[in-house]
Amino acid sequence: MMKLTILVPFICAVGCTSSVDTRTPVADLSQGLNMLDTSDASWGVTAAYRENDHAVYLEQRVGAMKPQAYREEAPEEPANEIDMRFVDENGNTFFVQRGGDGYVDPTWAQEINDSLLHPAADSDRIRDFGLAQKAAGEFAKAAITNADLAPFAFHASQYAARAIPTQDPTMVAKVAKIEASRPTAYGNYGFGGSWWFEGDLYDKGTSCVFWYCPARHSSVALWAYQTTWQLAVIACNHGTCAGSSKMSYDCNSNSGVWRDNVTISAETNGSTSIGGGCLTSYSWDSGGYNHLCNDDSAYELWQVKNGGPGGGSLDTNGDGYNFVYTGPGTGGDGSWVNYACTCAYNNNCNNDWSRPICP
Amino acid sequence: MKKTLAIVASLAIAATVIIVVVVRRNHGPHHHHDSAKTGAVEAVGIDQTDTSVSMMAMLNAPEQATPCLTAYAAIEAEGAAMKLHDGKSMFKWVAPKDAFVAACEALPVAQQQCMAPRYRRDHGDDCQKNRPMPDVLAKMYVGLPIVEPNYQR
Repeated sequence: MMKLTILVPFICAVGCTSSVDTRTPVADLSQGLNMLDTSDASWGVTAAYRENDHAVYLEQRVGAMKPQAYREEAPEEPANEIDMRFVDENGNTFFVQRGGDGYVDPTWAQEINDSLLHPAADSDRIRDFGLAQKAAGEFAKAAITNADLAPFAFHASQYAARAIPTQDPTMVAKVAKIEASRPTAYGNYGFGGSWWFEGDLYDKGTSCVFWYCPARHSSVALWAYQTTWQLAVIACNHGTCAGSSKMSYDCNSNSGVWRDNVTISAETNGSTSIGGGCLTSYSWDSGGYNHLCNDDSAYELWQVKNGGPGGGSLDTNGDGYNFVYTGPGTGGDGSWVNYACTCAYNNNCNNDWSRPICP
Repeated sequence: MKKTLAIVASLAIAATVIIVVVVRRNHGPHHHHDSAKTGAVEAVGIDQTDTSVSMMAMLNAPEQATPCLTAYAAIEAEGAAMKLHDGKSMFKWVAPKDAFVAACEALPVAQQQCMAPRYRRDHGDDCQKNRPMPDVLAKMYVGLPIVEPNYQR
């Protein structure tokens, strides 16, 4: 016990550092871009952007090296899967982009769920998205000039090029529809109220040569709304991310109901989760205990539509957590497709090299 | 004796902690290196699929004198790679070299450029917007319909 007492402060002095530690308080930040932690590019970066008395924090974490085929097909993108998020000055995440199935830093999952418990005032969140856009632009400009930091410029520059949700005509149109669906009896949702979810599917051809693309990569942008857009979760599904300039918008699914007590997690959390991705292995040879990007997208879209309390269960094979979908595909020829997180449970995920429909 | 040892040990530990804290301040925060990164093992499987082998062979085929010759060299490289890989080509049919190059050279210059795989990769949007008619492409190649590796298992 004595040994342990002595060791704890020693070990903590060596290694107990978290993202929170590197988020300098707003009052101590300089105006504009602040590079807070760029000491280990193999781990990630943390930066902040201050404007007057407010700030947002930009964090990126480096994940697995992408397959060589992905790196050669998109050499302008980082060689590794990278998670990126923006955190507000109260420590709540309001935008996160996940490279693979789970977060590189597993603590992010809980922090993102906690953010759903602490939605910001509308005006604050709108300001946060605006600051994030400025932060991303300034960060990308600074990072691209530094060899070590250059891989972190890509996703930031892609973010900076997008309109913030309240200035994006598509998102504004969604709000009009959502508000029209709000039950009168629940007309005055306060903070900590119910959530409406939207899932936007994007895709692109992959392995393309000449004018022939033998497969399609897909990615889902999940948006959580209360009285303004509070949180975005972009699931890149191992490849190019939804919203990237190379991805085309396909279609949209939404929750159709207002939900309470929601969490955002991955497939093994089953019918009580919203979003997240498959947690089996990722493989193009999706036929065994694995999946590919389009299976992730199918799962994410069905989670938006049916996940969580009040929605239908995704436990379609009755074992408590596995997602499978069998139904019409997008080939236009009437053929059916099979998607699953564990493809062995669903006809080896036949035809899942095509993007899913939006349920 | 025990008391002296305890004091010395405590002083040594305190000194170590101070040194570590100072070093950390001077060199920025150190991080837990994540053990949760998704495995590179998964990536190996992706690189071994027929589609990946085909695409990488074509992207890495040597540049020739013209985009159309580069395109045909890429097709030859894909064929050789698939033979070595014992896999299935992404093309159902390819015209003989003379006919392929002639059909390619009949395309407008902008479309000819898109026949070179690396150019097409780097100018994907422009090439997609400038697509020849299907009957024109069919004189050069026919892609194999998507068939998954496990389709018939």
